[in-house]
Formats: sequence, structure tokens, C-alpha cells
Amino acid sequence: MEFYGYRRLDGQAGVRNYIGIIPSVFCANRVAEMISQQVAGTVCLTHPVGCSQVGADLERTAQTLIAMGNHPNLAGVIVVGLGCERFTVKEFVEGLQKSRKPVAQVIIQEEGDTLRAVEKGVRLAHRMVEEASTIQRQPIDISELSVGVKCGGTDATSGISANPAVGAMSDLVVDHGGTVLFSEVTELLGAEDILAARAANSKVAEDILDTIRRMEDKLRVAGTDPKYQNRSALISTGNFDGGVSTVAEKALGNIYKSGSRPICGVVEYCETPGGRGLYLMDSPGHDGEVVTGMVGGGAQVIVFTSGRGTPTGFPFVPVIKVTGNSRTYEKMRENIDYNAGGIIDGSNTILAAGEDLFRMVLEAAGGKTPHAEAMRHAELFCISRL
Amino acid sequence: MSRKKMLIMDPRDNVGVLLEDAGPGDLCFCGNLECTAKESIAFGHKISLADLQSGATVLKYGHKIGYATAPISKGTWVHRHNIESERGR
Repeated sequence: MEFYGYRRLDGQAGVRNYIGIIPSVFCANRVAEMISQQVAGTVCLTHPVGCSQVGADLERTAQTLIAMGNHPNLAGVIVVGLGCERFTVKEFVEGLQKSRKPVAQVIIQEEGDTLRAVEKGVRLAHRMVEEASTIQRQPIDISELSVGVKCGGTDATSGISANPAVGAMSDLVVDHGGTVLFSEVTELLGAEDILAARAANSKVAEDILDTIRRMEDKLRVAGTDPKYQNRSALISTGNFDGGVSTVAEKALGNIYKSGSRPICGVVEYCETPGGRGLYLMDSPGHDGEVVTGMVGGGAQVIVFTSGRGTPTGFPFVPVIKVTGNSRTYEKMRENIDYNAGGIIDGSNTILAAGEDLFRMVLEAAGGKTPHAEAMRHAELFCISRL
Repeated sequence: MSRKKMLIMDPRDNVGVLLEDAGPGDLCFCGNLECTAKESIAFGHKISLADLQSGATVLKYGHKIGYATAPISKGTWVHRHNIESERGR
């Protein structure tokens, strides 16, 4: 089975053909935005980091930004820097060489001022878009597709209908030789034994248990200070309102998204798995941090379930929104792409919904724009801090 | 009194999930299993299928989602006011 994608010079397969305008530091955000606003076919990846950081935190910022630039959904990249930041433009550009895609740079302090920097960036972006627009889509085997699965704005229906439907889709992607990434380690507490039992071998089982144990230890340290006792809830007010009572309950509903196939390994934040199949990504944090890690790890499409409904999207990756109940679907028609609520009232089955979602993933990979992309929702690009 | 749909995720579970808002006296059903709601329970929320003692394990999806922090009688609402999890804290 195939989809129509873009073959990149480094051999990777992309499903979008945007030019990325990426600031190396937050000081360059506005210039990057102004460049992107002038040139159709570009996307802008603003962020709040890139300077006054040290050690692992700065390294994660660098790795994440480089992973974004190397992603096959971008045909070319313009790095916009200020000129004095810790994560330098030079290092950023060098990190993008392995993708062999066109890369250009604009350094504000060298150009003179905002308008001069914008002018240079717009001219560069025009040329890059023109060049990229000649690249044709071609048939690419599904085995080259990597899909990230995520949930947010969870209610009790997420674990009943939406997540099981996504799980059926995950199984189809894996059965066709593709890759599925799942994560949200904070929301796996209580489900670790089930996941470890699905590990491809005993080493992977240990890695899964270690990853979840480390996260729980970290949370214990963060949550025990009496000063922050009102800030220790791991799940949101909306989760509670939706009928989810404990993090273990959320975890047991959450893991349905990963389907039923063996877990081949645990990868680090923004790390691309060494093989194909189902992988757990060790990632902290909220929707944006998790999705950014998955995109950094090579996901070209994201499938995102939301019982209560969320509009978010990613600048250069199609995000397919799935809800588990018809109430949210009717209320948020322009945000939700698929209603799995039929599983609850008996008009649909988990397997049939999984097939629908699998087809939607292939359509999105082939160019169909999900709602979040059409409305340029881009909140899910978010660099995690250490 | 009316009949309200509920879902039981696993035969081992001692809670069901309501698929409609239920009020006191409503008969909640899943297949042949029936349980009368003793109070208002909203869509997506859990109803106790048994009398649970304080400290009892609460099972959903066939696994532990927490324990009862107070006695929970059959047909009442199960949520943060009467269950808790030792995980993630």
C-alpha cells in the first residue's frame, strides 16, 4: 500500500512541502514571523528559548530545533538568528547539513535592523518556495510512514471509544510495516505492567518499567512540597469534570491508543526509532511538548484524540482530531475530523473506526488538510525544558 | 424512573460508566446487568456496581484505578470524593 509523498535528498519521505522559517533564539521570533507572513508556502516556528540556558536544557533546545529543521515535511529552512545567542546560527545550520535540503540564514545584527533582516529573509524564502514548488509527490510505501498518537482534553469517552479506535488504526499502521510512536509517560502510571507484558523482549520490558518509574519518582519530588499542594494534581479539571477520577484510570484509557502489537523499544525525546513498529517515547509534559518530541522523532502525521475537544495543530505536520463522543463533535465541528462516538451508541465498531482513521491518515499523508492545518493552528510546536 | 445505558469495560469491574445522564431511581443497564442509580450521575461518570468498603480496590478496564476512601454503596456516584489513587503523587 502506498501514499503520495515527497522523496527528500537524504532518502526520507515527507508528507508536506513547506519552507520552515525557524528562529535560533526567541529574540528573532518577530523577524521570522514577518518573513513567513510575506511568503505563502512557509511556516514559522516561534519559541521562547535559545539563550541563557546551560547543559542538558540547552542541548534539548538545540536537538529539538535541529530535528525540526531536518524533518522531511520541510523542503527547506531559513534559520533566523539575532547574532549573540548561545544556540548559534552556525551550529543550527551545521546540524541541518545531513538532511541535504536547502538551508539559508539571516542574522539580524549582521543585516542591520528588523526591516533589513526581513527583506533578506523574504527574498531567500521566495526563492526557496519557488524551488520547492517544482518537487512532485510520488508513490511511497506505507512502511515509510510514522504516526504519532496523542490524547488531550481527555474525558471518560476517550478511553471507551476514541482511544480504542486509534489503537485499531495503530495496529493497521504497524501491520503495514509502518511506525507508531506513543508517549505521555506521566499518563502511563498504573498501566506499566500491561505495557511491559507487550514488550518485544525482556530488555524493552525493563526499559518501559524504568521509564515510568523515573517519571513517577520525579513527580513525587515535585509534588511533596507542602507549598505546592494545590498544584500537585496530575490530571486537569476538565478530566475530572469528564468523569476521570484518577491518573491510573486515565492511564488505562490512554494506552488503548497504542493498539495491541508488540512494543519494539523505548526512544528518547526527539529520537527517531532505529526500526519500524510500535515505540514508546520517553517524553515529559503537555500536548505540545509531547507532539514536538514525536515530530522530532520522525512522525509525519499525528492522530490526536480529545473527548472534550481541543483545536490545536502543528506548523508543518497534519494533526487529525478524533473525539469519542457526538456531543463534542457537534459542538466543535470545525475542529474535529472524526467522531468515534458511534462506538458508544452501537452504530460503529472499534475495528471499522480504526479502518476509517487509517484511511484518513493516508489521505492526510497524501495532502488532504485536517481542520487544524486548514486553520493554521500551530500551538503544538513547543520545546520542552529540563 | 427510566432506563439508562451504561458500559462495563471488563467483567471484573466493580464500576460502570454511564452513557447518559442518570438520576435517582433510574435503572442503569449493560447487557443483562442492571443497577439502580441512587443519586444523579453524569454522562461519562462512574456508578458503583457493588457495596464497597473503605479501602476496597476500585476496578475499571479490569485493573485498579484506585481505592475507596469511604464506604461506597451500590448505585452511587464514584469519583474524587470517594476514591483516590496512590499513583503519581
